[in-house]
Amino acid sequence: MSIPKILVIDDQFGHNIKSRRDLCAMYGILDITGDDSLPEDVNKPLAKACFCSGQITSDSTVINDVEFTIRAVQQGWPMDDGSRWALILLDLCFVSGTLEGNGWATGQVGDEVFGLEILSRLKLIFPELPVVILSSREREEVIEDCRKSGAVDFIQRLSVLGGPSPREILSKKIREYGLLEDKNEVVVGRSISLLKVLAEARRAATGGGNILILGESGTGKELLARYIHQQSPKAAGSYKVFHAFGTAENLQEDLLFGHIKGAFTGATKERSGLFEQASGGTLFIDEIGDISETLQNKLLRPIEMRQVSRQGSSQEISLSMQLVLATNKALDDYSTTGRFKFDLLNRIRAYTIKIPPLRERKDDIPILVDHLLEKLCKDYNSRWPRTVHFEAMEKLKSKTWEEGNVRELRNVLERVVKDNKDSEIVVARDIRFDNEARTPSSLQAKSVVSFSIDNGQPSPNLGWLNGIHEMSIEEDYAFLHGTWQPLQREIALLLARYLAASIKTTRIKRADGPPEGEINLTGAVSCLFGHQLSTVKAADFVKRILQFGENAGEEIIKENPVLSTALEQALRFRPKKSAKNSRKSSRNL
Amino acid sequence: MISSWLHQRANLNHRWLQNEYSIFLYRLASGGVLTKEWANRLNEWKNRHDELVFFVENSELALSPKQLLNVYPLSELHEQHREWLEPLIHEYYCSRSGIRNKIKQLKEKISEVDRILITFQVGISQPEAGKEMYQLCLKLSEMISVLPKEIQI
Repeated sequence: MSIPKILVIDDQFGHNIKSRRDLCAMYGILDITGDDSLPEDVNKPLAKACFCSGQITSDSTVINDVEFTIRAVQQGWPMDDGSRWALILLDLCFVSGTLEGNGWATGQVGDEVFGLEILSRLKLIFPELPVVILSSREREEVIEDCRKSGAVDFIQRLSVLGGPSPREILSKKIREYGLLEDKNEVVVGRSISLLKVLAEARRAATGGGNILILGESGTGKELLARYIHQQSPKAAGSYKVFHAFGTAENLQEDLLFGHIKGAFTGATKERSGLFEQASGGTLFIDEIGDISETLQNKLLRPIEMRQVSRQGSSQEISLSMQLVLATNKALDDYSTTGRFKFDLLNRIRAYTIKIPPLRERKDDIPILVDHLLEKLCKDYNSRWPRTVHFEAMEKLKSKTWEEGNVRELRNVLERVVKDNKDSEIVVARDIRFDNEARTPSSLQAKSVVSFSIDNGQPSPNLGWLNGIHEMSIEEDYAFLHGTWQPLQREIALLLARYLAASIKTTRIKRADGPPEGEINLTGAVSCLFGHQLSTVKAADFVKRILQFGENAGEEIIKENPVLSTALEQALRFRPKKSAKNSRKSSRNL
Repeated sequence: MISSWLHQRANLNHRWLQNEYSIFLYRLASGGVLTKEWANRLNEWKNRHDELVFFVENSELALSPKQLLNVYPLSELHEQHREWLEPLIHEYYCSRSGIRNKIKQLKEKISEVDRILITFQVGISQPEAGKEMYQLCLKLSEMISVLPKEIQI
């Protein structure tokens, strides 16, 4: 995993390479802008940086240019490799105007706040992108304006000697606010929603305090807890996990608090609980919503005071630990009904992190699939590496993932690996969902058709259409409600394009006819259906597709003029007329 | 006058002293080795010295409200009144703003940097001298930054 990439928007360091080298050395960043033939060689750089001046020079005049700056930001949102700017460092004062002999611009009114103008635009277009102001101005002077405009923090460019070094200061800001992937790959993904959660987790990981993780089942709450532990100052300490769900009520207390010898029948020797064992590190209590009501009362003291007593003992043991708790339950509702103590809820939700469900971070599916497949292939001694055909990936991405989340994705892939141990490729047919019957086929079909139309080319996903005729209207009625018409329209558009392609391939060329050949409508439609149709049926099919809806027909015809001719021919054919006339008309079809 | 002074201040203080020279000095103060190239960069101070002194000395006049007597409507004043009003306004501004004292302190700070630069040239205690020079330049820059940005009325 590469080090984070940041963008520095600064007039002086964007232009002046000599100064930029000093800045890079000072902050421990590696210049990858590409306009310096000898960039500063930084030892163990904490980030790679691109520099952008935020200005353009035309006829010896320097102009501040927001659009140019926005384009520079867009280049890394995301980059070709899928990564994104972890952070933007933005200057405040940009000096523009006529260039003088010394290479500096004269300065114009408004230059001193141009950075804030850029900031406002950035927050409009890239609201999730963290921006830190890097300026030589005094923090107190500008912090209010910067924060109000959307900057997450401010760095005074020149540090006082003896205090934290510029490198340390920048490192802290990147850690706190940067959109960084988990380099240890405990939590896998690079979607913005996940990267924001990771930043929250790093900010929360102070080594003390209580953190509550909320998220649906299978979203990776335990993995996030482990990430918090690894990111905290107590990372060197132990990491202990307590699963409340499935643990008998009488065992829960013993596991957490431990006991002294003779505390109860069967307590033949002293044993420490998980609270004690995790002291100096992190304790993760999973499914806190499933803790018994009796135990909830007993948790108040260790959670608030960091003190615990073993069962049967009155001796208080002080703890130094970070406590992470997780649940997929609505604790607020539980607290209203009295099932969860309000006092306890108040103590544990000081810092709450919500993990997005998989359906809200579908961008992560390819990277998750890759990661999980590698792991599963190794676990089951199966062939690795293997590629995932794009149809298979589309099938995974188009699933709604209403429940199960990453855990369900893992289960689906586990079956793929077990069923195809020696295969070097995963195809769509390999992907089978447990709850396939509950996935509305209409939604699948809609997404496939939309993909085809948007792409402007015949869909490469034809395989996906295989099951469309089996769509159960009764079962899917609720899902189709309000979507039937658009769905019909999309299917008509798709079929119209196949019809156009079929017409093209079945044209009949005659010596006295047009050079591109005559339209053979019956042949074209028969080709689509895969067997010979009557002229009546072929004409009927063309009319149905090309006359669908009030506007859809026009839209279809506009897309391809040959279809307009085809419709004209189909309309000329009147099935209600006499057989003689029909035969006469059909000669043209 | 004020606009060219402000322009000079932006170039000298913001662009050069803060964003170029001080950042270089920080590297030097953080244990950088004084190579020939770095020695040349260190001597940028000498190239800027006179410009800096001129800028500082010029501050008194650049910020003086007596300039307003050259601008309408005060420019319409009779010469007879102008003769006594101009020095009076200037002296009143000097005593109220303490500008002469500020200029004196700035020049002292410049002299301190001059002296510390000699330490480098004789090659003694470089890291310490680097730190001292960085601190002095930061202080000098800060003192220039707090000078007013407009004519003092």
